[in-house]
Amino acid sequence: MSNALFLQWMLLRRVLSGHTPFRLTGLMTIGNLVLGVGAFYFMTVVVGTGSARTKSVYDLYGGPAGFMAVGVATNQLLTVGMASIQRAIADERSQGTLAYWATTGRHMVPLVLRASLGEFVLACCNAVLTFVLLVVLFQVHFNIDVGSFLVVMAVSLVAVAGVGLAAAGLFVAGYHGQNPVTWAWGLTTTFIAGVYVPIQVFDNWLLQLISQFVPSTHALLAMRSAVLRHASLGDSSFLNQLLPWLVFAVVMAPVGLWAFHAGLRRAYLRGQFVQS
Amino acid sequence: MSHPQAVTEAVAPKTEVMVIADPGPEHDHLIPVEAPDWKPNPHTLIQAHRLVKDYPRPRGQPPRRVLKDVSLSVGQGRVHALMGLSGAGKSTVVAMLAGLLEPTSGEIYTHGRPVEATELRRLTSVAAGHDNGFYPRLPLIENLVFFAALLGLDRKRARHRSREVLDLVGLTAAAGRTPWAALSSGQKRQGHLARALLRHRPLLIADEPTRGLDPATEQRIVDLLTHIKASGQSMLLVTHDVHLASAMADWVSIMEAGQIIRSASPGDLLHLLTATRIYLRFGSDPGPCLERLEKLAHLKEIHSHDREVHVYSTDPETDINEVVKIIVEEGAVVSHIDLPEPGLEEVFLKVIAERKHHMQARLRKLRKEALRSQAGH
Repeated sequence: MSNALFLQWMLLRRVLSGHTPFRLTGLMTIGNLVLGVGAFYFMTVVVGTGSARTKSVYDLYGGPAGFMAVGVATNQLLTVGMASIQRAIADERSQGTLAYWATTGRHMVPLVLRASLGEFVLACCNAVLTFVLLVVLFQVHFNIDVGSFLVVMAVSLVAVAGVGLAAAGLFVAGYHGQNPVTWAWGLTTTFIAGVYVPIQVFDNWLLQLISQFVPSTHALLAMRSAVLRHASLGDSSFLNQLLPWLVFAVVMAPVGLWAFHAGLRRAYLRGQFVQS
Repeated sequence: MSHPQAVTEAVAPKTEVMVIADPGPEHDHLIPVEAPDWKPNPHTLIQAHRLVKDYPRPRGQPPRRVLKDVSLSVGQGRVHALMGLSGAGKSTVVAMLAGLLEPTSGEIYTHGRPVEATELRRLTSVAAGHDNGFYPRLPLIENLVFFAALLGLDRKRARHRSREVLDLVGLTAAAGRTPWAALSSGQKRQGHLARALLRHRPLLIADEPTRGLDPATEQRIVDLLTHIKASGQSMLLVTHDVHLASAMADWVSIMEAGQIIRSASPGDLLHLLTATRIYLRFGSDPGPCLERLEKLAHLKEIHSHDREVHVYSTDPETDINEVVKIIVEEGAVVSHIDLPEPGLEEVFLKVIAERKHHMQARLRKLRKEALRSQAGH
C-alpha cells in the first residue's frame, strides 16, 4: 500500500472509530433511505400533477421522481461536502489533535480535504443507494451522459471545496457554534434553488430573479441535464446551466483558500492550537 | 533509537553542522539580553529572545500581556528545565517554541539565525502535558500508527515505530490495545511521550512528563529521559517537579506571572540559599508573632502569606528554639513547623515567595499612594 493510500485509510479509520456502532448506523441509514424514497412518492403525487406548466418541466427530465431524486441527491452531496470539511476541522480541534496535525509539517489544506473525503464518499454511496431504490420501486429512467456528469461533478467538487474551506477557516480561527456558511447555503437552496420543484413554478418574479443568483440552482439544473436528459458537452442549454456554476466554483476556490489561510493565521496569532 | 545528532545535521545549514561543543545557556547569559550588542549565539540550538505575547481584549481595553520579555536558550545536547506555578506562562513559551503561537514581539533563533514558525514545527517535538490530543475510541497503538502515517511513514514502518516507542516508554502491548479514553492519566502521559518520540527532532519539549504518575512509572520516565539525554538529545523540560528538574537539568529557569524571574545552573541557584528556611503554618492569626519574629538575631528575611510564614535564618538551629519560644509565649496555634533540607525545591519556593512578597509590598504601596491622593483631593 502506498504512503498516500495508507494515510487515506488511516484518515478514514479515525472517522469510523468516532461513529456510533456500525450496525446501528447502518440501520439508521437504511431507515433514512426508505423514508426519503417514501417522501419522493408523496411529492410526486402531490406536486407532480400540479399544473401543466410544472408537468412540462418535469417531463423534460423524465418525470417528477427523477427530477426530485437528482435534486435531493445533488443538494445532499453539496451540503455534506461543504459541512464535512468544516466538521473535520471542528472535530480535530475539539479532540485536541489539530495541534499535532499542525506540527507534522504537512500542508493543512490537502490534509483537511483528504480528512473530509471519507464522509463525502459515504454521502455518495447514500445517493447511489437512493437511485437504486428509485429505479427498482418507481422505474425512474436515468439517461446519463457520462462526460457531462463527470464535468458537473468536477466543477461541484471545486465549488464545494471552496465553500467548505471558507467555513473551515472560521472554525480553525476559533469560531464555535452553527456553521453560518452551510446554514446560508441550506436556507437559499431548500426554498428557491428548485430542489423539489422547478423554479418556473414560482409565479413571483422576484423569487425567480433571486433563484438565478443562487449558485445551486444552476448546479441542480446542470446535474439533471447530465443525468436525466443525456445532455452532451456540446449541448448549449447544458452549457448555459453549467457556466454560472463554473464561475461560482472558479471564484470560490481562491476565496476558500484565502479564508482558510486567514483562519490558520489567526489561530497561530490567537493561540487556538494551545492546550490549557 | 537513532541518534538525534543525525537529525540536527539534516535540519541545520551545512556550515553549522560542524559545531560539536555547544557552550550551552551559561555562555548565552554572559551578555544580558537587553544589551544593545546582544547577538544570537551561532552555537546554540534554540534561543528565544525577549518574547512578548499580548492577547487582544474587547474594544477599548488594553491587551492582556501573558508573556513579558522572556528569553531562554537550549544548547545542543543540553536539558533546560522551565519551572513555575500553574498560569506562569510556561505553556505559552512551549507553544511558541513549537511554532504553534506567534509572539507579539521577540525572536527565536536556531544556530544564530532567526527561525520562522514553520521551521520551528520541524525542529521541535512536543510531549504535551494534557489528557487529550488523541482519538478517544482508537486504541493507543492505532493512534500512534495514525500519527506516524501523518509524519509520512509507510504502513510497515509506522507499525514498527509505534510498537518501538510504546516499548520505550514502558507501556505494555495490552495498554497499546486499549482505547485512549480508557487509559489512566499516567498512561496518557506516557502515550504523549511515545508520540513525541515517533520522530527524531533536534529539540524535544516534554511538558509535565511525570504529572499524575505512580512512583514506579515516574522513575521509569525519569530513566527514559536520562537515557534520551545521554544520547545527545536537547530537551526543554517544563515541569512543576523539582526532583525531576534537579535530576535532569543543566540549566533552570523559573517563571512567574509571564516572566522569567531566575535563570541559572542548578548549582548557582543553590547558592541563592544563603539562609535556611523555617516554615510555619499557623492555625490562628500570625500577626502578634510576626513582630517578634522580625527581630530574630540571625534573621535574613521573612515572608508571610495568609497564615503561612517563611523565616530565613543564617543560624536556623539557634533560631528555631527562639521561634518556638515566641509561639508559646504569644499563645499562637501552629499546625505545622518544618526545617526543609536545602535543595532546588527550596530555591524554587524561595524565589516564588520573594516574588509574591515584592508584588504584595508594591500593591500595598500603590494602595497607600492612591488613598493619600484621594485624601489630598
